[in-house]
Amino acid sequence: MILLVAATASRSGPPPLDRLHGGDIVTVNGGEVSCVGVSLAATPPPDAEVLLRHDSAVRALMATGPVVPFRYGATVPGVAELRRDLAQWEGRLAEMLELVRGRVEMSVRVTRRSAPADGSPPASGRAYLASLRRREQAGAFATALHRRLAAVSVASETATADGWVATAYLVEAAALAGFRLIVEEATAGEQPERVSVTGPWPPYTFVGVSLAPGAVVTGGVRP
Amino acid sequence: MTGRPTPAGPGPRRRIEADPERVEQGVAQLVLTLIELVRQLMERQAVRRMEAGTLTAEQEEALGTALLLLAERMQEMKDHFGLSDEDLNLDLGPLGSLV
Repeated sequence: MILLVAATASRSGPPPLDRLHGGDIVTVNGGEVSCVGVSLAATPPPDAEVLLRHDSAVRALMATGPVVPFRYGATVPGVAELRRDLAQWEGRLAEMLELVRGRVEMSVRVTRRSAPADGSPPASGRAYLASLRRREQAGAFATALHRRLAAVSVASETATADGWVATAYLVEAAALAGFRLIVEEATAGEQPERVSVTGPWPPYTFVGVSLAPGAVVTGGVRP
Repeated sequence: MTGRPTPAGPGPRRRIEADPERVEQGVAQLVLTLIELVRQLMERQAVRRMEAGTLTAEQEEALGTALLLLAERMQEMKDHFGLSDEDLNLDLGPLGSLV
C-alpha cells in the first residue's frame, strides 16, 4: 500500500526524498500535479516521532515548490489506484497548489495568563470581577492582534476555548517579516496574555486533503 | 478571508420543538439563552463600573459575589438540561454571535 505524503506541482521536479518511515518513495505524475507517497506494508502508528518525520518530508517537498499535504494516514492500495485518484482530483489539487504557491502557514496562540489552570472558581466577589476584567482585556488584545495579522494574511482559521484562542494564518512568504514584526510590537510591553507563534508550517490548515472516495477533505494533522 | 465570522447564509432558525417530550428542552433553551444574554450584559456593566471607580470595595464584593453565584446557577441549569455554551448562542448573521 501507499501512504500519501503530499501533492506537488509536476514542474517542481522529482521529490528530494528516497525513503520515509522505512519505505521507498513513490511518485505518480499527472499533467500538472504529482502525488508523492511511500510504499509500506502498514501505516506506522501516528506517534509524535512519526508525525514529525512525516512533517519533515512535507517540508522537504515544500522547499521545491508548493505542496498540498495529505492527512497523515491517508492510503491507497497501490500505484494504479493512486493514478486513478489523481486523475479524478487533479483539477482540484492544481487549484489548491495555486492557492498556497509562495505562501506558508503561521500559527498564533494567545493564552490568558490569568486563567486558572485547574478551573477553580475565584475566592471572592472582587476576585471574580477582576477575572472578568482580565478576560475582557485578553479578548480585546486577541481581537486587536488578529485584526492586524489578518490584514497581512491571505486567510485565517480560528479555534477558541476558555482561556485561549489559536489562529492559523496563510501568509505570503514575502510578508513573513511584517507578520513577525506585528507580533513583536504587540507583545513588546507588559501583557496579561501569553502569545506563542510557530511556523512557518506547510499549509495543513488550509489545503490538507484526504483522497477518500468521493470527497476531498480540508484540514490536516499537525505534529 | 476565511477566519472570522463569514456566514454563507441564514442559519437554522431556532424553534420550540413540537414534540411534547422535547418541548421542555426547547423552552429551557430559549429562556436560558435570554438569561445568559442578560447575565453577560450585567457582567460587562459591572466591569465598566469597577473600571470607572464608582463602586466601593464592599459594593464590588457584593456585586462580584452575586454575579459569581449567578454564573454557577447558570452552569447548573445548563447541566440539568444538557445544554452547552454553544446552545445558548444566537447566530446574528453578519453581525456575528449574540453572546
